[in-house]
Amino acid sequence: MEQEKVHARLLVLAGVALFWMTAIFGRVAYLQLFCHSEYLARAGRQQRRTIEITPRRGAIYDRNMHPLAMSVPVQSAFAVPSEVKDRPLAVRLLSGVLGMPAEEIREKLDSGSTFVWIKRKLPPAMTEATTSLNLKGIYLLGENQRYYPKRELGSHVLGFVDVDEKGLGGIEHEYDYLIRGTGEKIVVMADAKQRWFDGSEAQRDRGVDVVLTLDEKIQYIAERELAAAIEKTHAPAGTVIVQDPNSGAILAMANWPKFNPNAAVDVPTEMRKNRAISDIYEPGSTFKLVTLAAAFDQNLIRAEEVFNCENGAVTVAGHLIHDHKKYGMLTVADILANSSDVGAIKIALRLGSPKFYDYIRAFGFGSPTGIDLPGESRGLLRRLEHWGSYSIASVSMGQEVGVTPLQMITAVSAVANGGLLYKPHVVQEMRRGNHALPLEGPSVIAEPKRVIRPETAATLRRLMEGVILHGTGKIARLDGWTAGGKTGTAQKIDPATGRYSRTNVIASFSGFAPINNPVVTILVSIDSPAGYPHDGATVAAPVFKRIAEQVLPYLDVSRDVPLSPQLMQAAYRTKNETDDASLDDLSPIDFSAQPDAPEEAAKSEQTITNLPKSPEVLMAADEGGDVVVPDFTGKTMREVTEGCMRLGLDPVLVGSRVAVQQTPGAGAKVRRGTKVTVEFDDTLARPGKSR
Amino acid sequence: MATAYQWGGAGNGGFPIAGQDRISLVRNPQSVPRAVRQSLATAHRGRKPAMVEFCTVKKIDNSRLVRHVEPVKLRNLYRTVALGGIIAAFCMLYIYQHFHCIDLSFQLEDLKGKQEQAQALNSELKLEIATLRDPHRIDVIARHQLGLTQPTANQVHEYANLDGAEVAAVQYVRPYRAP
Repeated sequence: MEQEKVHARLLVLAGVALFWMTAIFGRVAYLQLFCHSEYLARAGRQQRRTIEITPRRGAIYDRNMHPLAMSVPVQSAFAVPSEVKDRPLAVRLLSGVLGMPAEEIREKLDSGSTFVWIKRKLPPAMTEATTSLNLKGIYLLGENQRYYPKRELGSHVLGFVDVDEKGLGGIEHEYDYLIRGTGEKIVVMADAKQRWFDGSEAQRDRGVDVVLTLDEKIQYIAERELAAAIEKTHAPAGTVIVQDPNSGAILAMANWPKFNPNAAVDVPTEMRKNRAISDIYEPGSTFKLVTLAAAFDQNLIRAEEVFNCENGAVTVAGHLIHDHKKYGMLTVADILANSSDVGAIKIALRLGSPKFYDYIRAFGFGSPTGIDLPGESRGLLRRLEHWGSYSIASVSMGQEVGVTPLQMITAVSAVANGGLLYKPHVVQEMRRGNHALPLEGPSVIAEPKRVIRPETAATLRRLMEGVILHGTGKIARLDGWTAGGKTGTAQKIDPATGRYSRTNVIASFSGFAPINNPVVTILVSIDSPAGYPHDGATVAAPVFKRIAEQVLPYLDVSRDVPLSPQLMQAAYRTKNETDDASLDDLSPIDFSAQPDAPEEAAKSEQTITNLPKSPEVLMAADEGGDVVVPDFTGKTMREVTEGCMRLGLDPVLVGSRVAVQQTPGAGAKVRRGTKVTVEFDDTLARPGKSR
Repeated sequence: MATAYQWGGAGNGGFPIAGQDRISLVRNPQSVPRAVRQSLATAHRGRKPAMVEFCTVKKIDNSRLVRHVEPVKLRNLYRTVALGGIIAAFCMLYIYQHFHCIDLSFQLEDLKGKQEQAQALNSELKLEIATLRDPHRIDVIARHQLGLTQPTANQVHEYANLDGAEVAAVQYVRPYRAP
């Protein structure tokens, strides 16, 4: 009996236990099998936080890996309103620490969102103060702040970003998809005390670093000299571009007005405009280079051929065109040197519109260059079928055609490098960490396109040297280096009258140096310089000179001509004057010792232009040249080659048959290994063919 | 150990017999006086005993218990126990690892915070260096504070032509030197 009672109790206990176990396991099975996803999601919401933060943008460097733009971690304050217990206290404390209106913070906390930014990108002091408050529900989150440590330097190329680190201009915009990186999220687990643990960084992906072709030193030189010219001429805008003619790489791209990309939001849009690639202007006389290049390339003219410039006036299609000076008979070289409009028109008429148009297109005018910067303009070039009877005359002297400064310098670089048109570019390399990435998109450097023959380019280089030696660009003559260039003074359209303005012009100068082996091509364009004279020779050429004389030694380019005594005296005088000058003057050299006005230039023209022709003076001023360049005129290619090899010179032979021109000129003292460009022509052997 | 009592028969005078499995209350029956033993025997024979006492003997195997277990079962038992032990150890290890992992995660987050602080400091220092290298700043300091001026053309002297290793060294230092 007793035993039966025991057995019954045991059975009851076992039944209860079984029921309890069944209930437990049944509940577990129900939760696991039927409610799994719901509770998983609920747990995730409670324990896991996926917070999207601004991805860290890649840095932008110049070609020497000097940072031009970089991102620095900063803290941003955010709130989880549901966790903020004492809101009035939190609002009061945060308002005092962050310097924000209390009402604004209260509105954010009452917004009903699960996540609200209180204030983003806090200064270090505010970060410390917010941390010290230790308010429940108020957190700090790491973000990145974009800084441009060189401030305005290269700002139009670099661009800028908004508060969300999105690129809005320049390289920042063009390569935003690479620099910005992919979405960056932090997944964290929180315990009961809301302490974070198990943070995931798997989705972090820093943006690509971009290495530009810009050189910060050259960029600074360009910007400083442009600013000095703007200050001197009171011009509202201006542009300077420095390009490597042998690759198309942009070494400097300066614009005025400039802006500080660290505070770009407050800057007017007009100041953020990259005029070097977006502004269209009529190039004026610098476009005569294209006219002559086309004619030379078609063997329609020769440098020594004489044209009648009609005493400064010519009628084309019923329009009377006046030259800026009354010229009579001028050689082609003098037409370019003196920038004769009538001469250029006559050359263009000989060329004909179709061929002229083809060359204009071949030089890249009328279409974007493809530079890896946003906002490039294609310029203005009417289709050939829309040309009027007067158009060829206008276009030959740089009117009725709109170009960007970048298009112009690209064309000049093609002349400088021997006839190859390179695509201008500002991106040299993309890097992720220490690994270089293959270039993609607009940064891919295309093969250069030949637009003119090397002989044509050599002839044009010589003629452009003549512009600086005895033409309109004498002020641009460099002290110690040969250089070629072309001045331009383009009248602007007066919006009031719809006609060319007499006062508003765009003064420009495009040139390169040295002549034999050009290292840099420089374009200077000053928009609407005040005062008079305001032509390219007076306004833009000195800027070219100042920039070239600083850039060439910086690039370790050996001098290829000796210092001229006048310039040495001027430099000595300048040094003394500079010592006494005001410290506010940041311009490197006071060029007041050199003539700015055409009249003064004309006075000194005789002495300066004669300098290369007087070996005695050169000997006196020589600074270390150890080889005297012989006169190769009339010699064959074999004789020239043998002569150069004997003297240790590096001959560059252009053309065939008989030598007719050489650079450097005969008698110049150069170093061993210097390249001597000798141009040959077979027309001397067949005089009957010459025109 | 069970204790059994058995009164012996007449042969031994009714005394418990001390056998192998028996324990006698009288350690030595021979020590009881003979007269007493005879009188008792006579009394039993002469009259009906007043009380019959039975002495039952219960056999108790008090030797060491040795159970015979089949070796296969034993081996399975060991295996099961070992497996259970391993599973239990794994469970314990898992639990230990889980909590240790959480503990390490806290430490990791702490270290990440320190790392981010160090990286932020590094970035700030790089930014400061870049700012200090601003050409405009250097230019202004050079001109205004140090009184330096741009060298004139005749103050800049070119190096003599170098060759071989010297050229390579210079080009290495200045990789973007123009050709």
